[in-house]
Amino acid sequence: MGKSIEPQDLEKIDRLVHAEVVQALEKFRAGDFEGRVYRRIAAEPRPAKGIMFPAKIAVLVAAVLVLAISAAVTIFNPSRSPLPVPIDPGDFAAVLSRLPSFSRPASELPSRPAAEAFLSEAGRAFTSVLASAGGAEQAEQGAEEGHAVRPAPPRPAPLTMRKRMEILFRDKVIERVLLSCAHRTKEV
Amino acid sequence: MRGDEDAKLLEDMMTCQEAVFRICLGFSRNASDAEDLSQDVYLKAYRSLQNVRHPYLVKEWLFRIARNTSLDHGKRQRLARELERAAGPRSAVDPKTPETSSMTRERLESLKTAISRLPRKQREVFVLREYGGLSYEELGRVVGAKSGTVMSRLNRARAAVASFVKKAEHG
Repeated sequence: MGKSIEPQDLEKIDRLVHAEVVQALEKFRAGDFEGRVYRRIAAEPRPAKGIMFPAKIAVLVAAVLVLAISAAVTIFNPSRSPLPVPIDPGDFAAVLSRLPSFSRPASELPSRPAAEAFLSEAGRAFTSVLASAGGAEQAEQGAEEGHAVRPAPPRPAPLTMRKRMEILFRDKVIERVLLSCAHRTKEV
Repeated sequence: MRGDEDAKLLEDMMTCQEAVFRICLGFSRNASDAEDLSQDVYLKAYRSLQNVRHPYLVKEWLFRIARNTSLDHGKRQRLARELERAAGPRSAVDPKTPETSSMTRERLESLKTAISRLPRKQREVFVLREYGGLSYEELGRVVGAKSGTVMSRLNRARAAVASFVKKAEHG
């Protein structure tokens, strides 16, 4: 199929198209096209009125507002626990009290660098506070009972591996929460 | 009717009914199909009247609907033909063929074949221009191309159709 076109070829095409169109238009004009279209439109179920443009914007704004409010409530809710799984304080205290480093005064702790390294900074601080509190309490108790030498506390049962892992996990959770709080404070 | 504005728009669109019919005829190559398609075009337009933002562009919008509806119809026809071919031999007599002299029929048949063999983009500008009588600017807006591109496509389409018709006449 060539790209050049001669005028007589163009005329021929025009004549052919014209002949076809004239013939078809005769039939078309004879029929009641407009009437048929209106009848089909009348038979159509009434289309629902489209949402107007401002109404669309209002719906969009409302949706964004609801999302923003729910996000704000979720983020700034003060009663929400920072932990993914809520931990009962009683359980937590019970586990801490069973820890050898928490239940014995600091002086009785074995000087093990590995054990110290194992504890985080927060854990070490908490241990020393607990140890000093425990010492003061025991001194008061001894004064009341009239003897200076206090009896040796019963040696707690050794912790199972599962318990140790639980303690380690909770310690890490506390550490992470404290760290995230520290970061947030810095950002603010 | 949903309102005076819609009724007015529909009335305006009705003034283009012959142009819409001609476009549908150019694509479908059959007067009966073209009329059915034109009705479909108006029904589609009526359903989407609430989307009309610029009433002065309603004519081009209508032509675009006509083009898309005709192209969709063409696809369905091709699929139906394929299925028919797969099912069995095709009837030699087309009941919708207009009663014309054999020579004119032959020429029209060759024109029909020539148009159907054009690439889609060339076919649509050829039909919209030759049958719909659209200007180059209108063509550009309807098919979404620049006037220069439209002219070049139209020129190639005309040359291809002329060449095919000439070959068909000379045997």
